Amino acid sequence: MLKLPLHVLLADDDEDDRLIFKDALEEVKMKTKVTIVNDGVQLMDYLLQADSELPGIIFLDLNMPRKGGMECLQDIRNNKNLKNLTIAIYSTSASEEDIEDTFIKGANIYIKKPNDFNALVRILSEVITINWQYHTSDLNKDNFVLSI
Amino acid sequence: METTFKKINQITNHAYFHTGLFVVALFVLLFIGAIVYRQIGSLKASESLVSHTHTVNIELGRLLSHVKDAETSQRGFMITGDSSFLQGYMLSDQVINRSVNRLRVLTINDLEYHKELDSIYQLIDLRLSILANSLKLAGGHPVISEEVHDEMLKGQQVMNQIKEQINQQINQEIALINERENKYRSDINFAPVTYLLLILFAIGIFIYSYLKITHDQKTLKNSSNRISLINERLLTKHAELQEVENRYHLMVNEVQDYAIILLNGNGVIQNWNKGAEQIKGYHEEEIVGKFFSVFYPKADQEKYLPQRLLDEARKSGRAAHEGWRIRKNGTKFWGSVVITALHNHDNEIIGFTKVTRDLTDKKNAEEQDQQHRKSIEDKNAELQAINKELASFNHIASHDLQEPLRKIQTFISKIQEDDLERISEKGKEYFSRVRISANRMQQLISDLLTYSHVNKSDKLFESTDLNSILKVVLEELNPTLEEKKGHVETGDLPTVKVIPFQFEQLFTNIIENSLKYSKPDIHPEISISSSVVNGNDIPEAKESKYRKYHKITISDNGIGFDPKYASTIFTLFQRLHDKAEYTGTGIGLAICKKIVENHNGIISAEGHLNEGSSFHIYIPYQAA
Repeated sequence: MLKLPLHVLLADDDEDDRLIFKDALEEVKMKTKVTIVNDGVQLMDYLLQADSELPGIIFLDLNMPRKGGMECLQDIRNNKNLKNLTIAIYSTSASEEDIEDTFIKGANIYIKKPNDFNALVRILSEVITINWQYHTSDLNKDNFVLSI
Repeated sequence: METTFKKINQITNHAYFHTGLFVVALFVLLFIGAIVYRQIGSLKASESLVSHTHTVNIELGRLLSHVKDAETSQRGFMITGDSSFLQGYMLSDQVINRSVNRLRVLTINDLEYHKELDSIYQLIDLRLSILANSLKLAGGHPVISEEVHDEMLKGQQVMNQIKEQINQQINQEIALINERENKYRSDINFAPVTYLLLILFAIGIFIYSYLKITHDQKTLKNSSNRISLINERLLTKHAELQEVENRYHLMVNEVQDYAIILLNGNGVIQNWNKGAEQIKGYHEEEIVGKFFSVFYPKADQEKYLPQRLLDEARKSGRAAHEGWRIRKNGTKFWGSVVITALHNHDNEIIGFTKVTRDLTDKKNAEEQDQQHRKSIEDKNAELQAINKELASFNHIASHDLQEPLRKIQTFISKIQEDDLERISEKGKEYFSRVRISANRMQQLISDLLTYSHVNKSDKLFESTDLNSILKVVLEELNPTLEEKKGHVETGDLPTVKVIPFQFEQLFTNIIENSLKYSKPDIHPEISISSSVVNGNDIPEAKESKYRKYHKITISDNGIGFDPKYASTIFTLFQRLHDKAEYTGTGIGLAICKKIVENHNGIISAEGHLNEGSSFHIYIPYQAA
């Protein structure tokens, strides 16, 4: 059975983080295709291009220049073409405030960037294989923050 | 008595009654007077009639006596022949005539009487002619002839006739007199009654008038007394009032702390007191008569502030204002002004009182105070801002510090995984030290973050059973406890109002601390107990704000500490041990202290080296 590679989109302004993310994703034993944008403006430009291939999942950093992740989340959920996209918040912060806000605004999961490469590989494997339909219907504040 | 008098008074006081009474009395008096006048007149008439009758009678008697004289003298001559007898006879003619004439004059108004007199006169004439005839016959001879005798008889008869007629006349006169006397008597009888009536009536009027006048006088006197009394009282009152007014004026004039001035209805100054002079600097003679806006600064005058204040006082009776005013010499003072409208009895505004106080000192003090307060507030705000900045710096710094650290850790883990073999032995050791340092830094940052999060301002206090909090904490610490083979003895803890997650942190930190500093060869024994103590019994409470406290004690059998560090143990980054010996950031107990202080509590530590330590947490007592 041939499976189409999962289209993963990362929006992060930090070059190191983008590198680590790419390396980790390569170690995940699953075929993926990665698109990377550097900030919120680039993300929205990409998503709103008519010929863009919409991603299966977006990893969204919150703290970005020009346009932050919180704003992008809001815009995506308010756009009828984009509102069903799966969005994983991918942030250094684990503040209650950010978790609460993104949960209310309709993010699917909250990932705190780990400080161990192997941990990141495990996280990505987990997230990519989640059955989002099932997860979303069962979403609550306790399982919103991913803990490995 | 009094009431009857009053009644009489009421009736008699009526003006018409008095006038009527007076008119009636006047008429009665006039009537009686007329009767009396008439009676006296009638008395006078009957008296003159009586005396007239007497005169007539006397005259008649005389006439008869004259005739008799003539007869007597004739007789004497005839008998004696002596002519001297004839002298009387000779004169009788004249005398009788005179008598008859007098009678005529007397009875001039009585025609009937005249007729009778005429007949008497004729008879007398006849008698006299008979006398003359008989004398002639006798011829001077003293003889009495038969003829003479007859003549004498005849004379005698006529004489009798005269007598009879005169008597008759006299009787008639007597009857007349009687009649007149009767009338006179009756008049006389009646007159005293009339007089008596008159006198009685007059006396009556006099008595009444006397009583009335006395009474009226008495009433008048009473009224007059009363009026004079009232007058006296009024005078006293007036004098008192004047005295009060004088004193009041004096008082107002002498008041020095307040400018009390009177304005007329248009705001023109009408009087001036010492206070006004003192505060505003004008003398009475140079300010009275001017409009009161001279006290206001130009800017206020242009805004018609004085007029607006007057209007307000006119409308609502009173206007109060505080602001800068100008003295005569141009300096400013801060005046507190109350303008009050004055009304007359018809509620019309007749003027205003204006009371001004110089509050410059107060104002200055207030301004200073305000400046003071403002500077304190500014400082406070500044401090708050600094605090907030510090907190956010703390938060952001530790947050942003995490990011590069996290990347360092991630890259280390990647190298460790892929390329560790290719590094030299020395390099491996250094690499391991880099990793440990990075981890330690991460711990520090994480603890600092926690510390900066311990704030009570936005946290909710909930009534919490501390037993259940402790249970959760022990469950979480279970792996460490099992590893160290420790045991926790728990007593009954109270239910108090706390921030639950902070108390979780508090218990966790202290128990972790006990486990960390346990003696290596002895199983950790931790006991947790609770009691209620008086605020005064807490040695660490410098000034206990609460009377009673819950005291929670957590004791262990660990390594303890030198008592001299009992207070510094809670200071941030304060560590008593070598990092190699016991890992730690020196933040954990500082967090505990902050949490307890958030709950208005006190935390203290007690310990001796190698004899274990006890932590005491005091929370204000709340009845369950």
